[in-house]
Amino acid sequence: MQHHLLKYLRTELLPTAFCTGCGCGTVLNLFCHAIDELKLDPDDIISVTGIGCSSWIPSPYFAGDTLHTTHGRSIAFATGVKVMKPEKKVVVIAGDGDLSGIGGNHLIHAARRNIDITVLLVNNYVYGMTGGQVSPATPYETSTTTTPYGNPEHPFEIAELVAAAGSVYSARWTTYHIFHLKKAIKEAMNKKGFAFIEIFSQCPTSYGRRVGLREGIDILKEFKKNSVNIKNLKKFTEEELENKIVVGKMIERSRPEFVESLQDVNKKVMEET
Amino acid sequence: MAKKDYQIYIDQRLCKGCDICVELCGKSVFTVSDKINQKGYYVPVPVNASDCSGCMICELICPEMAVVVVETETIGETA
Repeated sequence: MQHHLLKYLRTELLPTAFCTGCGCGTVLNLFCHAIDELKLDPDDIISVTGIGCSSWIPSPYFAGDTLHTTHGRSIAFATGVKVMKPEKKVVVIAGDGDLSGIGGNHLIHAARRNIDITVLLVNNYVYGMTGGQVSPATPYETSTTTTPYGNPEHPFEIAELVAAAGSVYSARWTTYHIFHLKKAIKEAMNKKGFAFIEIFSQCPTSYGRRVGLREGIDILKEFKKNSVNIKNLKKFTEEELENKIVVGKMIERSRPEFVESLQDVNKKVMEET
Repeated sequence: MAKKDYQIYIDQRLCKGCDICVELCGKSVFTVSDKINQKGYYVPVPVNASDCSGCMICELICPEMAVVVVETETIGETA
């Protein structure tokens, strides 16, 4: 018997190219569940991705229109798509190195503009596809391919960064928190404006292998052990929170949306001339 | 109290044997198979499917969308 949600996928390409135990597949699974529960038509969704393992989540597997773009520029392409086709839902799914490293400025400025796109940032700590190089999201003192003696830098707190930059919805969950994550994807898809979810995902091949967590399930157990819900933050001191993952909804508010503001300006100018 | 019955299917074509479902199932429904499938993976077997509570963790967390949980029938009160 087949999964009833395989209708959303290009089944001729399955099984996926992801490594055994990779969290990218879980994100794809939950994304399909969320779309099914929201009763959205895949033809109304345009997914835009960059370069990296997590960019393979919608492209080529998701059976809707997809744009597989250059490294780090997925939000820039998505901005263009949304401005020209405001009636479509635009979803960006890409990795931590892609969106916060190479495309970092696109991310914060899209949040500042508050353009109506949904961004799922799949954070697996490293540049996984190229062999596990250090990324802006790698934890402090972690050894990677390019930092064999430990990472001297501190990671970005991307969900907080995007919330501060002006997004209307920002949340962080891990692939262990499947029910929360599914709910968050549904909330983000329904939100008018820049909705952002940072998803901590396991990479057993490029990250786990170097830190002694060789199987996907080992990293999932670490997520379970190390995550603190944002509602319980007051119970912990700052030192205790040093290596914890703060999960939950960072912000939810409403602000004027970019495409509507742009259309208003265009209309005003056309009337004047 | 009415107890719901579930059947669990694992797609042999898609499963890569990561065993996340085996580890995370609260009712120990799955066991690791000792036989390899066509692609060379040890696909889990839902041996205790009668214990399944229908929490859907295995279906939602499966990275390959290979696990399907189907509610079969509702068994009424026996008393």
